[in-house]
Amino acid sequence: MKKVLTLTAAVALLASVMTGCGSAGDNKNSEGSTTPASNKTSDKPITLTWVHHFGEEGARKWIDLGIQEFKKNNPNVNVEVTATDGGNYKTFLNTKVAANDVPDIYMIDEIPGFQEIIDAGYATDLTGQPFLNNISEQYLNGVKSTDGKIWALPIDTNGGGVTYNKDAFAKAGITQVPTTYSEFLADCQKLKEAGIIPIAAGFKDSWTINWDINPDLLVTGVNSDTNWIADVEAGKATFADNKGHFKEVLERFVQRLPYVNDDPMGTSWDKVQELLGSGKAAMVINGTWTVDGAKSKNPNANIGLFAFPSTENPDDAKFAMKSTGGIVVNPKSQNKEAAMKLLETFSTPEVGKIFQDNKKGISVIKGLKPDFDPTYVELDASYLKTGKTFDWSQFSPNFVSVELSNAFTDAITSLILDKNHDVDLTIKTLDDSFNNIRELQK
Amino acid sequence: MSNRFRDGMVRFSFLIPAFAFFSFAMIIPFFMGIHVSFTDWNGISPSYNFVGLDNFKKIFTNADILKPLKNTIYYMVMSVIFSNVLALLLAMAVNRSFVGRNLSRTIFFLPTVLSAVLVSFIWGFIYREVFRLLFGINSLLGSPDTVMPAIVGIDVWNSVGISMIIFLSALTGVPKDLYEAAEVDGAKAWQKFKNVTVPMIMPAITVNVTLAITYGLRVFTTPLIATNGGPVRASETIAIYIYRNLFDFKKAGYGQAVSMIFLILLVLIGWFVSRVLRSKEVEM
Repeated sequence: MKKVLTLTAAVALLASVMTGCGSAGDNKNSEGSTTPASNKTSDKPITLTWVHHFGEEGARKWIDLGIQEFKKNNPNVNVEVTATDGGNYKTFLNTKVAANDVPDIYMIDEIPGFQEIIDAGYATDLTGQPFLNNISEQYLNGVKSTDGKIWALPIDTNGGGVTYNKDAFAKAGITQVPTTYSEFLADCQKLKEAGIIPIAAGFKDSWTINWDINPDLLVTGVNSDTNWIADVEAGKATFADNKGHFKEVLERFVQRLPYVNDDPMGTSWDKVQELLGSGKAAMVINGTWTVDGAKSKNPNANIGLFAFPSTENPDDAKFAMKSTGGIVVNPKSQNKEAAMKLLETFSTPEVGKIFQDNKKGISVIKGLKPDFDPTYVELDASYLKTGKTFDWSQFSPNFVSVELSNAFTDAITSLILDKNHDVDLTIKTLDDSFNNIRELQK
Repeated sequence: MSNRFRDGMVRFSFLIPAFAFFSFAMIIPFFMGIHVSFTDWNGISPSYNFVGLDNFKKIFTNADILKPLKNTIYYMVMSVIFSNVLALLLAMAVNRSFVGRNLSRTIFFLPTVLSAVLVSFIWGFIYREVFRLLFGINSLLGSPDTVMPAIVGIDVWNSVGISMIIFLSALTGVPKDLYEAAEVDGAKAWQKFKNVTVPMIMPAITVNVTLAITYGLRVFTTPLIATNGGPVRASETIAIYIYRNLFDFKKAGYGQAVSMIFLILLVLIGWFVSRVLRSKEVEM
């Protein structure tokens, strides 16, 4: 008896490893339950679920205040917001799909990477919705699939570049932002000599590794071949072909590594925002959302933005801007109507202003000026108005397949960890691991 | 109806609620998912094709699986050794009578009540910030060379209390006269430990070692939360590998096939280990 009991107990423990896999395949019956419940009676209490991956305080405030605005007209609707980690967001969404538990409202970062979820019928076609008239026409490109249908309400136009602390620059005696790559390196040296961390890096959060190279990758790619990532993904090209001059991007990345903080692999994105906000670090190479992050940590921080200078020609230093992704409504939701109303609220200029004031980003809603923050007034004046910007909506720096994307990040991580920082080895590793995952069709 | 049969049925009836729940949550979903391992299902799409044994063949030809396999075995061996040795030492320490005995028992048990997710966050912070201040070293979770020992450390801290309680309850059951008899025979401390304590607490060792092995082989939460399997897959375990294939890589069929093989291995290992250890137990 004793033995039988032990064995049963052992099996019980072991079998729990299977928990994640059991629900596979039963989400076919879900169609039946999607008939919208007759919730025309607007006083019936409803709970909407909303999942996002904003890690910055300002963005979360925008969501909270926007929901308050929405509840003024819809007091019966309760919105349950869940924030997840950006690095695992796609996985998280996939598990939700597998468990047939997709939230009523969620975010997507771009159309190509989330096409499968759209194809599986978890996104509402928003084409022709009246509230989209509030959005600047040009910014709808980033939420359209190839057949021209609109799947998400875009939020902001953002970009990749260098966010810097002006006080730290002044302290090191730097009066002008660098416009060539050699100037950039010289400034890093000056900052280092002044006892300031030139570049803050939080590689513990692996998405920041990609974004540390993205500003360079984007401008270099746009100037050479905007299809190179898609071609490599499809197996039509290799990294060794160097069609997007990615090798040079990595070489510049390696040259910057001596100027990042100690222990970048043990430093988090949260810590990076703090370092930049406090002026202990001078620069962060990432996206424009870094401004919000640094100012959330220190509201008095004197923060500026400049384009990453990847060449010796000052005219090449353009700011990468685009609007992709946005808020999606799940068509299988029981409360689709309420969810669409929420989207309507989030497309009003009032909530757009809340967005700009709190999230510190340029809203895509018509008629709003970038006067919410001096950093953006400056960005507008020195890059957007002068045309020193480029649109990269059509050039994704990401691989659609998570497996390829992980292999990519792993290879760059190895390059950081490798004491010799051997770029050629990284290119070879990338090609080898990609060839193991997808077939080379050359 | 014989009394023995009736007694057996009564005993079995106590298991029914647990068994029903276990079937509902584990066994039934498991059998419902078996067919997936013979398909090329991507985890999302409503349609899929049957591909026979292709997924199982891939497991044995794919070099990709070796790294998580190595990490898992390393983790299992280390956590079995460290959590049991430490738990036994703690149990023997708090089995003596001294002032503050109950307090120390509580303190040693306290980490166990925290969830693995919370513990991973706390230790992530300790490794990043506190260790840096105290010893001036880089986060142990940030380097492929130190990440596995660091994760073993987190889990040993988190789970040692449970093993300690199991050892402690066994230790309190060892009759004092056995030790007295051993002392009369001239046994030294080590001999008493080896010849009296260990055989007497063998059932507890069986439980603790079996649990540690099976838990160690399917460890998932701590490495996922602390490092997300990184850096560069240095802390990716088999359970994370399965999860990635199921949900990230759109290879649900392959992931399911790995988990089937893995389950069979786990049952065999668990059964074998508890059988070997049971044979070493002494009946009173």
